[in-house]
Amino acid sequence: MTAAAIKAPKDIYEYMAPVSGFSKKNNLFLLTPNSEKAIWKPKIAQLTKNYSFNGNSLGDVPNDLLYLLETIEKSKYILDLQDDWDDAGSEGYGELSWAASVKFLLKYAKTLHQDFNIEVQTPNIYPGPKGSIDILWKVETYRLLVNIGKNGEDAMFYADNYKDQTTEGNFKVDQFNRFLLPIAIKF
Amino acid sequence: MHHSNFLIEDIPNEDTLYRRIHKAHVDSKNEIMPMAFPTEDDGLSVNWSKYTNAEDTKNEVIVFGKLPENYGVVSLIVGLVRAIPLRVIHDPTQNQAHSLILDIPPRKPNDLGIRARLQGICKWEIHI
Repeated sequence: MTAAAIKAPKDIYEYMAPVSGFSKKNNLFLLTPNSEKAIWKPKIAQLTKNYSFNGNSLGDVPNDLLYLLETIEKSKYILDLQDDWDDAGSEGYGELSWAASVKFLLKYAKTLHQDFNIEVQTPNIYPGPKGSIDILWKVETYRLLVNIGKNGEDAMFYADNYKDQTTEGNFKVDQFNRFLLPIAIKF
Repeated sequence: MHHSNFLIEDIPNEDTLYRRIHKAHVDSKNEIMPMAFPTEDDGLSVNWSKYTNAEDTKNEVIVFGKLPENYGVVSLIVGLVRAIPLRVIHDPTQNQAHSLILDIPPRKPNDLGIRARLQGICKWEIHI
């Protein structure tokens, strides 16, 4: 069955074909879809809900990822933490770092979902040191800790398998290469 | 580091360290946040099991004018801390048990790894 043989409304279905090969043209790699194995997939995931805070949009959430909103909503208490909230002199939190954390989480999850059909594990969003925010994924097989800086721009990550494999690095919240970040896959 | 009249001793790997955890550093599922092990310029304060226990570590906050009921206590095995790798030294003050975990770097990638690993090896002694 080929794509041309089906007249499916484009706003409801999308044509998905596995790659059967690639070629190179003008220094670009061109993927060759395998039409024999192509399917029309319902476009449900592309129905989205916009998530905003104080009138500012923090990102679009595909329907399949709405489960992330619970942990985001739960983390709003961080914004109420005042200086010395832990009796250890830690500073309070501004909207900048919290909003940047939510923006990152939604963008990261949406990218992985759209490009790889991966649903990310639900993380916990915690207050971090010096006005930063910690986003922690902790499951049986791995842990991934992302820290969003107080300025809402600089971020860093660390991940391991609790044993002998680790990875870590820095990135900018507004522009990151998803291929260079660990994937917090939902098992 | 502090100065006191107590002798500075070597802490064996098999011994235990106690650290207080403030209730604000614990989530609703009783999970300790990585923030409970912050980067501190002069090291992370802990108490050595040779001279104290979990209960006394919890109650020690009274000296600082704080409420013990706001704190739980976790334990860390010295050898596991050193395997991260971090340094553990005896640093007696008026409190002979006082010790320090050193070499937690300032905010950069491996600071995250150390906070995550310290969180991973600690064990509740007194829940909040």
